[in-house]
Amino acid sequence: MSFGTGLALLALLFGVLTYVQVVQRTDAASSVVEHSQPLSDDAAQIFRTLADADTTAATGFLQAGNETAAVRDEYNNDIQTASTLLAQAAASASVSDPGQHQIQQLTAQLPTYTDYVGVAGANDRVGYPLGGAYLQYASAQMQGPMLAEAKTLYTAETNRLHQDYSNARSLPWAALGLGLIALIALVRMQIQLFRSTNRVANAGLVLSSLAVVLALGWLVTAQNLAASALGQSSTRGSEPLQVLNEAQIEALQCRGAENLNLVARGSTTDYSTAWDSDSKQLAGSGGFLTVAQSMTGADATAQQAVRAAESDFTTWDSRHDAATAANNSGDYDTAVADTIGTPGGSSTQTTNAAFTQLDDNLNTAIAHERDNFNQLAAQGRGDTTGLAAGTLTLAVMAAFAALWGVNRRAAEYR
Amino acid sequence: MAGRRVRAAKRVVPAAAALLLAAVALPGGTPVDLQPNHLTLTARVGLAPTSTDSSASSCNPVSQNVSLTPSTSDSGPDVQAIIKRGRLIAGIDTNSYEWGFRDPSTGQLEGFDITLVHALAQAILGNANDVEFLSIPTADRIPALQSGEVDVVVRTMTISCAREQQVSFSSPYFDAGQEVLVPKSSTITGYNSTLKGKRVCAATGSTAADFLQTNDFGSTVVPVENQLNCLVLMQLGLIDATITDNALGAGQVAQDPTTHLVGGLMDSETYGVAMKLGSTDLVRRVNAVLDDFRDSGAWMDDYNQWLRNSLGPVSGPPSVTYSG
Repeated sequence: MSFGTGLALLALLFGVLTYVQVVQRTDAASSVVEHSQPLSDDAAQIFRTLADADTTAATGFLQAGNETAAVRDEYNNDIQTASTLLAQAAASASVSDPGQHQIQQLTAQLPTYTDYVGVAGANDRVGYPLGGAYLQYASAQMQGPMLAEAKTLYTAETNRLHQDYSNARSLPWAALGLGLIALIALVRMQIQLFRSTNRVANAGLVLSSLAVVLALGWLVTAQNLAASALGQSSTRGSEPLQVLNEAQIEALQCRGAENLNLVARGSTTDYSTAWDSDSKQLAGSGGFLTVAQSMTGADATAQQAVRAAESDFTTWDSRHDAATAANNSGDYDTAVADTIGTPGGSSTQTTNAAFTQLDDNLNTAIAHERDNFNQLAAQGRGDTTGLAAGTLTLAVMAAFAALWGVNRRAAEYR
Repeated sequence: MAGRRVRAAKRVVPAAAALLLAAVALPGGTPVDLQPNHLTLTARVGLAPTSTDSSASSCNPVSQNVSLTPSTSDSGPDVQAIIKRGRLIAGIDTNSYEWGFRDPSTGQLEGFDITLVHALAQAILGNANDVEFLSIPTADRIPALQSGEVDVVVRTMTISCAREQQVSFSSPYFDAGQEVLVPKSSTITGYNSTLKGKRVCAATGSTAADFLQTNDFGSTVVPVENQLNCLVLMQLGLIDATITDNALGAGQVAQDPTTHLVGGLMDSETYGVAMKLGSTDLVRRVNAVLDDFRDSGAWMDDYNQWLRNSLGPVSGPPSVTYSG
C-alpha cells in the first residue's frame, strides 16, 4: 500500500468516525428535547396531579354536603389528567424502560384509590365517622405506595434526561484524536517530500491538510457551542424546572397534611408533624423555594415569581397557625373555615387561597424556565446543523486530495 | 469544561431526589394508621384476662367501680373553677359513632357520651350548652386531665385499677365487654374454634389483642391503630372478624348493618367519667348528676336513642356502690 493510499484511508476513517460520533451526539440532543425532558416533565406532572387529587379529595370531604363544583371538577380533572399521562407514558415507554413497572402499578391502583374516596364521601354524607377512616385509608394508599411509585418514575425519567444531556455534550474525542493523527501524518509526509525534493509545497497534500484542519475546527467549534447551549438549557432551564416541580409537589403535601389533620378531627398528631417537616422542606433554609430562588438568578421574571411564592408561603404559614390555634382550642368550625372557607362565603383569607397563589406563582416560574429550556436546547441543536455531513465531505475531499498529491509526486519520478 | 458542567448538573439531582423522597414519607405511609380513639382500647391492659394489676394491690375489678358518695354541693374548688369560668371543658372523641361524633350535615356533636356531657353542664352551670368540647388525641387523654386542659373526659373510657392511679373516676355509667363482630354471612359464631384459619382484626395494645395473644384459636391476627380501621378492612374483604368493645362494635354495626356482634360478652368492663386525680368535690358533683341521670330515666332515653338499635334492649343502667 502506498503512502498516498494510507493517508487517504486515514482521512476517510476520520470522516466516518466523526460522522458517527456527531450523529450520536445530535441524536442524544434530540432525545433531550423530544423525549427525556418531556417525559421527565410528564412524570413530575403525574406526581403532581396525584398529590393534588389527594389534597382536593380531602377538601371535598371537609366541605361534605357543601362540596363545590370547583373542588369536584378539580378532583375529576386531576384523576383524568393522571390517567391520560399514565396511558401516554405507557405508550411511549419501551418494555425495558425502568419506569414501566411503576406505570403499570399506578394504572392499576388509581381506580381503586378513587373507589375508596367515593366510599369515604358516601359514608360521610350519611353521618358515619367511617367516612373519615376510609378517606385516611385512601390517602395512606396515595401517600404511601402510589406517590413512592410516582417518585421512582420521576427519578428514572430524570436520570435518563441527565444521561442524554451528558451524551449530547461530551466532545467526540476519538474523532478529534484520529483527525489530529491524520493531520500529523499529512504534515510529516510534506516535510519528508520537502527534504527529498526541495519542492516547497505539494498542492494535493496542502489541500488535504486544509480540509482536515477545517473539519477539525468546525467539529471543535460547533460541538463546544452546542455543549455550551445545552449546558445553559440545563442550568437555566431543566434544572430550575425540576426544583420548581419539586417545590410544587412539596407545597401540595403541606396542603394535604393540613386537610387530613382536620379530617382526622384532632385524633392524631401525625399530620401536624407532617406539616412541620414538609413546610420546612418547602420554605425552610435550604428548602426548595430557597434553592429555586438561587437557581433562577439568570431569569428575572422567574425569580420574581419565586420571591412572590415565598411571600405567599409566609401568608399561608401565619394563616395555618391561626387555624391550628382555633382547632387546638376546640373551635373546629373556625379551623375548617380558616382552611377551606365557609360554604358560599368568601374564601380569600384561607390557607387554601394562599396555597393557590403560591401554586400560581410557581406555575409562572415554571412556564418561564420551560421557555428557557426550549429556546436554549433548540439553539444547542442548531449549532451542530450540517456538522456530520459537512465534516464527512471535507474528510472525503482530504482523502482524494492526499491521493492525488502523493500520486502526482510519484508520477514525476516515473 | 463541558465535562465539569455535566458533573455540576449531576450533583443537583441526588440532592433534589433525596428531598423528594423525604417529601413522600408523609404520615400514613402505612395503610392502617388512621384514627383516634385507640386510647380507649390501648390502656385496658389492666383488665386483660392474663394480666395482674400490681400497681394497686388493694384494687380489684369490684373495688375499682366503687366511687365517692355523691353531693350536689357547688362549694368545692374544682366545681367553683368551672362555675367561675362559665363553661365546662370536656375531652371527647369525635369519631365514635353513636358515642361521640360530628354529624357532617349539621356540624353538631352527637352521641351517648355527648348527651351525658350536656347533662353535666345543665346541672353544674344551669345551661346544657355551656360546654367547650375538645377532641383530644388518644395519647393526650390522661395528660390533658393532669394538666388541667380539660375538666372531664367522657369518652367510652374504661375504669381500671391502673388508671385509678392517674385519674379519678365517677361511678360507672355503662356496662361493656369485648365481643366478636363479623359479617352476617360469616360462619364464625364467637370467640371460639370457628375463628380457626380466619383473619381477625384488633387494635394494637387493646384487651382484644390480649385475648388473642392468650388464645387466637388458630386465626391470623391483623393489628390496627383503631377499631374503626377494622371496619374499613372488613368492608374491603381484608379481614373476617373484629374483636372490640361491644359498645364500639355496636357503632360499627350501626354504620354497616350487614355486620353483627356474635357470641356474647367475653369479659365485663365499665365506663366512667374521668377527672383529675384527687378532684373529690368534682367527682361527688358528677356522681350526683349521674345518679339523677340514671334515676330520672334520662339514661334510658339516651340509651334508647343511640344504642338500643345496635346493642338491643337492656333492663337499665349499671348498679353503683359508693364509699367515702
